[in-house]
Amino acid sequence: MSKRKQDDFLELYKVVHNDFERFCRARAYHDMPYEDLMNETLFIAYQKLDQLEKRTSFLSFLIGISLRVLANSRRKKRAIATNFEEHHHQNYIVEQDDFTRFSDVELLHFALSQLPKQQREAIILFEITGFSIREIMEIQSSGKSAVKQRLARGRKELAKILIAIENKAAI
Amino acid sequence: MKQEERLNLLFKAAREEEVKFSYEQLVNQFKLKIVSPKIFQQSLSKITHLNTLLIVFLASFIGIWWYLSPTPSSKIIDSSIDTITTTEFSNLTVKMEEARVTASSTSPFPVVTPKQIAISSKQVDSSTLIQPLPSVFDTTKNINLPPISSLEQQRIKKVAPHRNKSIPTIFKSPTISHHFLKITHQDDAKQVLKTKQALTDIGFEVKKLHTNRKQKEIQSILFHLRHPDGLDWKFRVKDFEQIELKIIKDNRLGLRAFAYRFGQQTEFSPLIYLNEKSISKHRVASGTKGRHITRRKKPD
Repeated sequence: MSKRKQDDFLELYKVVHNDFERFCRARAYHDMPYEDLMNETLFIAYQKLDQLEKRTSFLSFLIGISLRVLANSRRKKRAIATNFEEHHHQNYIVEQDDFTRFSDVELLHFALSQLPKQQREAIILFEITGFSIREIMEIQSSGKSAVKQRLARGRKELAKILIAIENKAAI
Repeated sequence: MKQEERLNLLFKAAREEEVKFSYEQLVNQFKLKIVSPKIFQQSLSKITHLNTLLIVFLASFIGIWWYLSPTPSSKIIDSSIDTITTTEFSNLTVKMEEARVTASSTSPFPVVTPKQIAISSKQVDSSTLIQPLPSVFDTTKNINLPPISSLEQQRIKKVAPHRNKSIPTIFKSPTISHHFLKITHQDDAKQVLKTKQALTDIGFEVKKLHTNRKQKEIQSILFHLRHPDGLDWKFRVKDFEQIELKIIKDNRLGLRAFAYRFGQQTEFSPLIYLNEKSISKHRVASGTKGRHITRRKKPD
């Protein structure tokens, strides 16, 4: 029975692996190792496979779990971490000046990591994973206009961040 | 327009980038994760079985040993049982009853007079008393402690185990030390002056340190700190219980940055560098977070 469930699960997952990996890599940048996030998400998804309503929405099912895993890990980190460096490492990242050795995708991931949480999620889901606005609405449990605003503002902000990075790299 | 195109190109690159963590790798790890809890449970159950067996065996062994070997206390009990005859026993019970009646008729706790204490102490032979042990502090042995610098290094290594390589090296170096300064709402004027002195000793120029009191407790506090590097920080807090300042100092380069927080459960503010111009305004009791505004960004 468990073997059958396992095979079924892996068959479902094989189709969405690439998209899920790209999402995790972009979303977990600087928050936690994306391999850990994927592993943990898969394990939870396997345990909760009975709760999956449509087989076609498996990717959004996985993404929903991964977002909760990330939020939980961040909360735990905040509770445990008492040292200053860990809390404010984001401040230090901005100060680094070795952007020249970044690849294009790494640069994008870095710029995305500077955005607010929901804007970042919306942009990753829309632009990288290829979700529709309706699907993002369901994942973020918010309205259509809110998602559209997030996308527009996120893009603007991203452009600003990229300009800043390029100026810094030029100096 | 250019930036839009650049963004689109970047998104396209991200969409088309090859997967780094392959499906096979993930499946292997996933299978291991699914199988391992079962193995763990099985082994755990075996271990618990073994443990219970061991405990039962040990307990039975100890019981048999205790039963076979007579202890001194059991010997005494045996001998007393042998010597006390039935008549003596009845006399003893009568005496005990008498004593109980007299004690209860006078007072529940019999009073011992100083005279009685003196007599009883005279009766004690001093040679039978146990001599006091030499004090621990009399020992002249030196305890070899590791030097402070290495301890400090160990602490810093433990404190900052971060995967991110991009953290500047200055905050990892062993020469960095953290200093804490506390101000509570119950501090009196002398303690506030001491804090001011401590801040100046650290290297700040305290332009203003003004407190507003209500019923002998500080209701609001106003700081104005400066530094030759360009720091101009105004700090205004109302209805606080405790302010904690964390000062990051390099033993070689001197003062580097600082941050503040209210209470030990809260997070520290972002780092305030010595070339910043900023204002921090907070009202703690109202529940609002307040704000910290940097007027001029840190120059490169």
